[in-house]
Amino acid sequence: MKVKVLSRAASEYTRETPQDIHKIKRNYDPTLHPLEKAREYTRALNAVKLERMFAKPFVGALSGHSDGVYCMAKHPKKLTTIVTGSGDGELRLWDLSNRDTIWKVVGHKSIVKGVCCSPTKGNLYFSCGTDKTVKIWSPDLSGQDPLSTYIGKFAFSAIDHHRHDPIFATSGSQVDIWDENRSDPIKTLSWGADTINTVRFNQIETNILGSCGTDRTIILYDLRMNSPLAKLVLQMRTNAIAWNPMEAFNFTAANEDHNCYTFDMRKMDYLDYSPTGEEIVTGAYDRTLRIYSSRQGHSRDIYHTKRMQRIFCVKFSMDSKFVLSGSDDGSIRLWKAKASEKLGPKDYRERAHLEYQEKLIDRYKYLPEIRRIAKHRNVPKAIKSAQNTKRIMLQSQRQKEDNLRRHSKKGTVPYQAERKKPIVDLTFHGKRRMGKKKEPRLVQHREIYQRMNFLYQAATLMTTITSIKKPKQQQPSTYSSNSLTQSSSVQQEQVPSTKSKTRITTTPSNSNTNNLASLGRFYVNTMKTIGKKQVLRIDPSIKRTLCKRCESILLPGVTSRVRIKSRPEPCYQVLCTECNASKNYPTRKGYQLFSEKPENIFRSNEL
Amino acid sequence: MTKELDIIDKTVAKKIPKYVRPTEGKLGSKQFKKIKDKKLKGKLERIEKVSKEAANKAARSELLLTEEPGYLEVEGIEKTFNITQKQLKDNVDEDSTKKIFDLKLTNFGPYSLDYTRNGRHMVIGGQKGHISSFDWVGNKLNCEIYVKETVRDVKWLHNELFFAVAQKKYVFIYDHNGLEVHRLKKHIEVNKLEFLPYHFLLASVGNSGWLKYQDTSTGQLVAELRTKLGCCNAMAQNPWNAIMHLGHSNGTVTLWSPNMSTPLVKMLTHKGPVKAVAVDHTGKYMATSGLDGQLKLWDIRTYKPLQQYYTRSPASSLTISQLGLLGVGWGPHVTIWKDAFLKKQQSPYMNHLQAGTQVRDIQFCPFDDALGLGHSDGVSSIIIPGSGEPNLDSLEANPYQSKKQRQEAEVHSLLDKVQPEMIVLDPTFIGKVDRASKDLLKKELKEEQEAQLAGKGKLVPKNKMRGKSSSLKRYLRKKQKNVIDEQKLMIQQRLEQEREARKKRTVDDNEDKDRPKALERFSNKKRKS
Repeated sequence: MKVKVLSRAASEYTRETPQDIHKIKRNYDPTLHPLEKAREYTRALNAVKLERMFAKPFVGALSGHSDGVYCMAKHPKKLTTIVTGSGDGELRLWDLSNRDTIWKVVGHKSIVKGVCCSPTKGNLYFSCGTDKTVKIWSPDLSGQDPLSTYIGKFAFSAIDHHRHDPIFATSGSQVDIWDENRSDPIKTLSWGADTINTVRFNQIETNILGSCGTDRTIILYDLRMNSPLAKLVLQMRTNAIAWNPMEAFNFTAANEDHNCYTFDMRKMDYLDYSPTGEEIVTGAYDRTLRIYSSRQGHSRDIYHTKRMQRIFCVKFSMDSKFVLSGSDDGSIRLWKAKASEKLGPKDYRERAHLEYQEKLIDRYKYLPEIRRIAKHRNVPKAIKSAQNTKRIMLQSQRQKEDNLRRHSKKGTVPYQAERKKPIVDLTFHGKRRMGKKKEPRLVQHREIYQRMNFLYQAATLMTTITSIKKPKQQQPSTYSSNSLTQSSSVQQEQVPSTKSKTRITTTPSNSNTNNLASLGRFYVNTMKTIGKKQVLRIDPSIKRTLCKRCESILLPGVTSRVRIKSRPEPCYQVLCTECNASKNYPTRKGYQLFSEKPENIFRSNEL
Repeated sequence: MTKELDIIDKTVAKKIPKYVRPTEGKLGSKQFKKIKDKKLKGKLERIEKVSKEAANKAARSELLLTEEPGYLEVEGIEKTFNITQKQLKDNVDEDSTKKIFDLKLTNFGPYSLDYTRNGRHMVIGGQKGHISSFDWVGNKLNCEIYVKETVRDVKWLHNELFFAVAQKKYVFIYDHNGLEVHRLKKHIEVNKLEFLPYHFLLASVGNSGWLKYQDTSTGQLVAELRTKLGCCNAMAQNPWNAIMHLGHSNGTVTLWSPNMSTPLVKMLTHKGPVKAVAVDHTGKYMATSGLDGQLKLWDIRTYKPLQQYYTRSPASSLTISQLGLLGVGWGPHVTIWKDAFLKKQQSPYMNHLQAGTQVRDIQFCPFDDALGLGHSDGVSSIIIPGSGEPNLDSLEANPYQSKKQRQEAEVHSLLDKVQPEMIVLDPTFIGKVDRASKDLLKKELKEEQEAQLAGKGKLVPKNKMRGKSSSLKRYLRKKQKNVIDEQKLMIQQRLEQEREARKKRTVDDNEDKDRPKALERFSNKKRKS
């Protein structure tokens, strides 16, 4: 008989001394771990709840500026240094670890529009403002006085420094490239726009810079070339751009239509956003800060506080752990980039645990409960309602487009890629790449023209009815100079007029015909009013069949008399028989109306 | 050296399928090619890769397992089922001999017993009111109490600090010192108790045939389910999916979850009352015994019988060990069957006779080669080599845990407490894609929406009799019923008039309704008149 019974030595499973760590034996046999999916899901649920519970992103505020903070720059070499410029012309240098001002100066007479740091020379700062000056500051060397001041021709709107060369760029009514040591710009770049909002150097492809102007354009320049690289026109104005520091060819533009667009410089395709390469931070007029993952279309997080006003500048810290925002209320706020992250050192086990939690959330992120908790954010009422409004707006636009597509000929209203929608026009190395072709213009205000046309015809009809008693009948040819459609419609109108003849003849009365004539005048009046209100011109050929004084239709032989005169110059005279107003129209050789002169023809669609 | 590595690789490759989770590794290369979305394809490929790697690594980690399972082998004409505990005792090591013992408690029997999840502690309950809990490995008594009333079943809760006892009328919870902590008044005349450790649910079933689930972490009564099948004496939990199996007197076994008021599955297993039920911990097999003298083994994935055996007297108790041994207690005997589910066995693996007693309850000790049996003369423990899982997972159930570790584990298990709503037949359903057809999904969605609407319900106006309380009625109401005077008669008359007038008005309205008013003007006036 051979027998073996389980007999474990307790020493194998327990620690020898209380100073040791506990011995852990693992057996990964799935049958020993029942309900693992359910337990893991519960853990994920707890993890996501904890993540939301610990989400307290606000670290602190740097206060000191007495006016709004409108520009900010981080030092590329020093982790804790930032420079800010305020609305009252004050510049401040901050130490982030102490949340303290190191140096301050009232540098400009009006609002400071841009600041930047010199990446090569340690403590050198540049600022520009609407007072048409660029100033270079060195707190160590010159203290409260600028090292040098350059005076420009126009108010500056932004400034940015080259990655390593002593070159910086400013924008205003044009983009200027300056050498640090020269008082005049070494290069001036412009393409169209009258005001350039921002100018930014690419941090990897260091010779490339992008600017955005008030004419809805984004223009890319290369310093090595004499002409601009590309010009992109969007549906709405771009307020700021940022280059991806990891992928040189990507940049993101913050647009006025509440969106950010990321473009690939090479193709100008519309992607998504990114400043530290992985994430993007945006500040907005709606008093919130949003953080995006560079590859996703929706914000990962939204930050707001009660006291924070409209945000004008945001920056990621150089270690991408923090976010800085400068707002209208004059303070600079420091936020955590990850809302629930614990600050300070973490020991190994804690870190492992946090990583495990993150992984769990990632694994179960599609399950409804977890998705709901992870996505939930409390936002101010104003933003919530704005979101709703925007949603409704987009939906109705979509609906409208759908309806248009449904009711028009198949293929005439094509689907447009969502990525191409915001792009109006793109010129690349002087060649047009994208943009809508010029389509033959359809008649604008068509329905108004139709209405006016109808009124005109109705008035004519009224006039002809009044004249039925008289033996003479007008001929359609008398006023067929206008258009085919009109004359044909008039002929149609005459059919009912014969009917009305029988009716009128049964009850002939002067008052009735007078009423009809005044009705015709009323129609003409209405037509003229509509034309005035909509600023639509009435073609002279039509206009000449209306009496200027009494607004009745002038039918030759019926309501008007036409005479040809040769003195004082060749002309024909039209006399309104209703009000005896006469008007002369010149007929000399070579005479042209103003609207018939070729240089004045720019709109062909008139009544 | 490389040869050795090759051998290791081959052995690992054999073990991998054990670690592949049922939902994973299903997409073949053909299905991958069908996927058009590049992003999705990449994601799925990555997941696939990770899960494969995980299975591979888990299989590899088997090398680190130190313990081997026990065994009993004989030579020649010797039979394993003839070997007695006494013979075994002579042949095993000193430590293991301690696992064979008899507690003679003739005054309070028969006994029921339970092991903790880690197999370290034991609680016994004698029918006549003796309850005791002890560390049976370390021979340390925790508590011993006499309740002076019937004890029908005992059950450990999540750890060795608490146990539940089904007594004459109610279920009580005692702590490790034997102090009564709770009296569960809702559980009345309970015969059998079960505890779901991951859900913290104590389930009970008794004479009235109600299955009740109580959450022991919050104290809430989660579900009360009426089986409608009368007194129930056999209950077992399926540890794999936390479903309760109840054996009834009409020969059926029903499967329950706390989320459904009706059984999930109803199986006709025996021709007589079901005496005992046991489910193995992989959730694949079930054993039932009935008063018809049958012992039947079932596959609960297909709900079909696998084997059936005849027992000379009805088996009173069944249990299945971690390594798949089936223990059957009948009369004074305990029979152990090996590989009983896979193949019809001609002879048992082991036998044990507890002479002069009736076996009431038998339990395999987890992570140990021992079997505890409660009988009319007390409690005994015998050795069954090859019954317990040799390699334990300290984070799941650790017999050697310290006090601190126990506390830590308690907190963690509470944090990971699975909600009772997640008890379903297939525990791997979470996170799976619903592959039902589109029509079915649509139908389900519609039904759900309708149910939601029905829940809100259309506003049915309450019959509040508002405005009907006229002064006349009020007068009638307030006056004595049996006094009839002139005024009362007058009022009754007026009320009657009013009622008739109202009736007339409604009749008129109805007549008007027949005519479509808008079209009236077109109707033939003559015909109308």
